[in-house]
Amino acid sequence: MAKAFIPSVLAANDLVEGDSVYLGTDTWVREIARAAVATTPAEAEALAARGVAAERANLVVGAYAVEVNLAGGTPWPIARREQIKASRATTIPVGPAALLDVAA
Amino acid sequence: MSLLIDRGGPIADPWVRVQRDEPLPDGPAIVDPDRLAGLDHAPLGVHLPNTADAAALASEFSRLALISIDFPAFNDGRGFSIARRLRELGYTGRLRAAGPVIADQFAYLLECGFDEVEIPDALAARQPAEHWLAAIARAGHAYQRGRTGARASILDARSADHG
Amino acid sequence: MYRYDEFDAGFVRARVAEFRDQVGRRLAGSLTEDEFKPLRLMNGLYLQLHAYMLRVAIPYGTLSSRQMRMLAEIAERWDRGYGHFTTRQNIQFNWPKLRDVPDILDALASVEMHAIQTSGNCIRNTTSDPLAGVAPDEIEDPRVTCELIRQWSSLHPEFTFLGRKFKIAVSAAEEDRAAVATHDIGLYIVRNDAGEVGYRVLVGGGQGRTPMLAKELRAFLPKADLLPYLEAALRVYNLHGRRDNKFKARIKILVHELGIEEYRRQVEEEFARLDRAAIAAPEAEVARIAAYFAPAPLPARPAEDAGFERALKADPAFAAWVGQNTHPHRVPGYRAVTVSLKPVGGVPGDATAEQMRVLADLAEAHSGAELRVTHEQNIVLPSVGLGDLPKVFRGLAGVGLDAPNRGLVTDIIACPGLDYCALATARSIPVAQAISRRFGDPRRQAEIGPLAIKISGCINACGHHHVGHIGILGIDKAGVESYQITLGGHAGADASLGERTGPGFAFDEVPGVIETLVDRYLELRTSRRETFLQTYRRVGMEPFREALYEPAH
Repeated sequence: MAKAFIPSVLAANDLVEGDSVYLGTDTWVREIARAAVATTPAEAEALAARGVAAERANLVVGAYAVEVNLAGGTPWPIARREQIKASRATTIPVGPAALLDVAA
Repeated sequence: MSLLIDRGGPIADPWVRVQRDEPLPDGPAIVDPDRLAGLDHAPLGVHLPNTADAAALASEFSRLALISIDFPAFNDGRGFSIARRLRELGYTGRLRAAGPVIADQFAYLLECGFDEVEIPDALAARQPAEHWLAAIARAGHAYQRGRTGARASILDARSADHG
Repeated sequence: MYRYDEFDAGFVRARVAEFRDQVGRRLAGSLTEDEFKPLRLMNGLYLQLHAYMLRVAIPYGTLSSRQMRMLAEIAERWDRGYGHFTTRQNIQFNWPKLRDVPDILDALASVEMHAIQTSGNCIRNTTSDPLAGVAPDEIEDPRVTCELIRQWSSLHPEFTFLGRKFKIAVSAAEEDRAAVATHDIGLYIVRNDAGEVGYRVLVGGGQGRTPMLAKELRAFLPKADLLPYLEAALRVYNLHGRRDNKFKARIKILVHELGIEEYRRQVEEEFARLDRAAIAAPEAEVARIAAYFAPAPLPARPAEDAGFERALKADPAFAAWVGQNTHPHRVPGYRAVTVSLKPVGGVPGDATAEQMRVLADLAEAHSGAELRVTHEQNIVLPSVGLGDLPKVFRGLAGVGLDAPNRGLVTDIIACPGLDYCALATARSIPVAQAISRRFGDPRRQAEIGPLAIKISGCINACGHHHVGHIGILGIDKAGVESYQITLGGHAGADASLGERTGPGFAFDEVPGVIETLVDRYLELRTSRRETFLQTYRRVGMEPFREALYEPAH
């Protein structure tokens, strides 16, 4: 039996700003909630292809797929690393990088 | 195809790289090291992988007009040390870096003893000869001594200042 | 300290101009990301989890008040108001924009600083003793050697594309405060039987996934041979170090696979062949550099100071801080002060722009306008008169930098971990914060005594967990953070690598685990004078393992 497809979004870093960004419907966005979600392998491939094109166009660097959970209504990453990235939790000056038991 | 550049800019490449079993052309020919023994040809060059032992080639220096060192990737720096060793062992012929090295490395290549770089066309399209010349023009000074080729030595300049 | 001459200044300016050009070519597409990446790394610029990160070199950990103020200005103008001092005596800014980096490098150049070779597969910032020049137990100031190496290794044409990064440390003191044995090359400045000063050369130390302590390459190297010998050692590594596997590419693996005898044979052969005179620094150049490190003429002070003695009696907090955070100085009447960047519950090594400015001001007023960064991620004011210590203490307290915890359980080394780092597999900062809060009571810390906890958020070991008395390594176990504990590591002259206790622990369990280990130590120690490390070396792993895994004990 084929493994169930896990929905994903496409993450990267903005070449000039360096910020982590997600591929939205039209443009790259800062908030994962506004990211375009792939719910089928074909949609994931389409996102990846847009990522490759954006890298070639020197817009972003290092595009990769991030598996997400859609239970909360908007995409939220499954992996801890991606949760931290999506939450931008260390953006507090001299941040106590807050314990991230994210309930999102 | 490829582009050949030395410190003056793009140059014509008179050399033919001879693949393993091909017959030798009349003119300048670059062969693999295992074909050198007993080979009677001039002008003769050899193409070394970057795992080669420079010292093993020392007995052949007098009949080699060119040594080409392979750079499989620009960030594989073994070729720099091989070139340096060849020069220290007394090789005075032409030294070529062959592979996708980048313009930002040109000064270092010259200082390690290379005379020229042979880069693939796709790279040359992005980094034309002007980039290479600009790279050595802005290279400035170096801290190391005992190397010539691109940057003047700061330590030697300071010694001169001290009189 | 060293000052740039016109050549140093020109060198750094040329490098900034080159990087500005490289950024331009990257944005225009003539450099691909694959080509640009090693170039930006060689200028200290990483792309991390959230953003770019710029690592600025603080050569051998020495900086002036003027330079510290510039770091504060950079933090405010181009970053988010703070910086992070690292275990290699550097500082990192976590949020710069690519387009701003050339301007930041220009600002650094204006105060004789740079980010050259703070990353990439090249020779990194040479590290040293934070008490260099003021320690009573040193043979000579190791920073003269460090500066020679800094210059020689900067944009070395042959060694800028090595198989992997290459770290050098230098110590000239009896007590090793530079963790020399965990470096690719470690240099101890020693005196031979004839009374000549030279180097004992170690090679092949390192942490990472295959921790190794360095082995002796040369028992005594004459000083004049330093650069040619390094050149020979690096060349053998550049030619023969493994390039097929990133995790086996450090020189420690080459030395391990060849054996120290064979590696030594090859280095000596290469060294014999080199034109030493052409490579070595001229004597006049060594003397020129040494002159910058001549001991500053400190005004004579009495060995005792009445005001200082009064403050010790009147203020227990001050007395505790003096006892824990100051060190003997080669000149009577002075102390070297460690400013802890480890407030209880804080982020180890972080400092705000305001804190940096206060440190700069205090150094200017009371310590010859000079500061040091330690590999424990703290700051040192190297030469403070006894009578000035109360003022310095008050100044530090005003910005929360008065923690009296140098070398204690809350003086934790931690890498940035998963909160910042693209390579990390687990968080380390929040683990450090939780442990620090658990042991926040200063009396309890003093009761426990010297204890080095070191935390890495991945196998690369930037948090030096292998040489922590208690080491903590965070890994990813099927999507969940798991923390392995090691005991008995140590980074000093009698260096040792820690041994694993057993299976790892969950994120939330770590503070309790540390508490269990500490409690066990307190039961086991023969007296308050026996440190955690001494107790561990005496009793071994078993009692600690039992305490952790067989709680019925």
